[in-house]
Amino acid sequence: MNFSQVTLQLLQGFGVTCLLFILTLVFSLPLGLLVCAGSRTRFKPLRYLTRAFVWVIRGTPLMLQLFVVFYVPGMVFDAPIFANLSNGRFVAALIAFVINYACYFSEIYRGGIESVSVGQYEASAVLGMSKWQTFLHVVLPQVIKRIVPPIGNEIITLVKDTSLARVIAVFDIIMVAENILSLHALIWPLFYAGVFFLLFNGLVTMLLRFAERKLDYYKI
Amino acid sequence: MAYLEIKNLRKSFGDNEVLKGIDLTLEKGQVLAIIGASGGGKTTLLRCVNFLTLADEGSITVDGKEIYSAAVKYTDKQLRQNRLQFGLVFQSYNLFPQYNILKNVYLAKNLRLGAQAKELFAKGNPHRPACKKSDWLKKERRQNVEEARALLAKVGLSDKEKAYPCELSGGQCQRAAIARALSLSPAVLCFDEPTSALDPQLTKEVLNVIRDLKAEGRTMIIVTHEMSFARQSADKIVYVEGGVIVEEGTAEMMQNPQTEGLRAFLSQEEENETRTANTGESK
Repeated sequence: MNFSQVTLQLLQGFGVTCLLFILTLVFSLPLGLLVCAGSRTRFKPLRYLTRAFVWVIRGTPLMLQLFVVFYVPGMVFDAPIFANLSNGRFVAALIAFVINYACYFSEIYRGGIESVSVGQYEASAVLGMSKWQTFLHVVLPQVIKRIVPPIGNEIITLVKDTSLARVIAVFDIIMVAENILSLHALIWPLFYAGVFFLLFNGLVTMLLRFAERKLDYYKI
Repeated sequence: MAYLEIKNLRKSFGDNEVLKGIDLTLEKGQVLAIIGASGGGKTTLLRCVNFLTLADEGSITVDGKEIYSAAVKYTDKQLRQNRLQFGLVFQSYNLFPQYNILKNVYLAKNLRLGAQAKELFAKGNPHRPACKKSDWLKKERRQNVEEARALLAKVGLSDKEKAYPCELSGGQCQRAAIARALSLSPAVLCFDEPTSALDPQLTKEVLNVIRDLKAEGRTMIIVTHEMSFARQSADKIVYVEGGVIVEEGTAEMMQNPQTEGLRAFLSQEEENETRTANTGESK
């Protein structure tokens, strides 16, 4: 296999990696807000349940969670649900990633929300704003500014975590490179795959810097 | 009946009774100064008036209309409506850092437009405007911005309307906060130690704004440690200690305190003032 053939094959795998990355973000960023609301609710049973859930998800390996999402539904319903779908493995991986990252994001959101001073809520209250208006127009913009750096950290980790999906045989770029290794006895495509991650994260870092600069017009 | 009437206001936090039955009246256009040592209940009183904490007992009436009574169970919406009778200026300004000064002032009023439009343009409303809803909103928003500009001019910040709070001095922030508190035209404007975070020069510019508002005939309540300001500008002064009003009167009360508590408090304040004045000179 020559360089361009390897590149072409790796790019196909990288497409899967990118799709997994983007879809995970699209679903987990808003879901994290919901989890965050659950862990802050005044309704105690829900609050404790949510916090226990976040504890389990953050406290166990993501690789294990991939197995659980992929195999447990099949064990419960006595039929391999994800394996029977054409892209079932990808969907299973996506679900595991979304749940895992939503929990991490929820804790970052929680920290951001709790760092907004009581005075901001009180000022909004005496100006007759509703709770929802206060959150949307006063609290949320400040939270976004505060959480961009920690969220950025998680996003960069996610780029690399996508490679875990191969444990349930999702054909991501690492899996493609491993296949080349076993079929053609070539090791360098595996290292070459690392360059894709590196370049992609360079791009992500630049976007995050841009976002931080955009939000730099005021100090909290 | 007085313009503002506060009757038998009581508030406890757990076992700690902070307000033990406060009765107050204030006429329209008058300025009330609340003085007293820290922990005496001044701030809690002001917070109860603004519904930031709800009083356990008592009632508040403005212009003959009862806006709060501990005996009544209010919905969030009613409380939100009723609290607009009062404006509050905080010690730490609490401006919204992400908006420029102008938007800080008009934001709350703009946010009220949605509900107003819904009511105004409801089917069957005889006063329904002839124009389109979006045109009405556009017109109202523009008007709110103009009103905000006028308020900033009043507090001397016309040239700063595009500035963010982090770019302003403490005195400018506090003046912007006053403009913001005025944006919803409250019947009574309250100040919670508005100059405690400011140095003497900035204190002066804020107090001047408050004096201008008094000249306009605003009804105001000011919790303050500025004794000379209270003496000069307040129509009425109350001394609060241990959750009750120990003494109330006009500026003369300060010359001739009747209770031991007020006498001790005033001499303590005087000592503090001379000390700050002295350290100010030595710098």
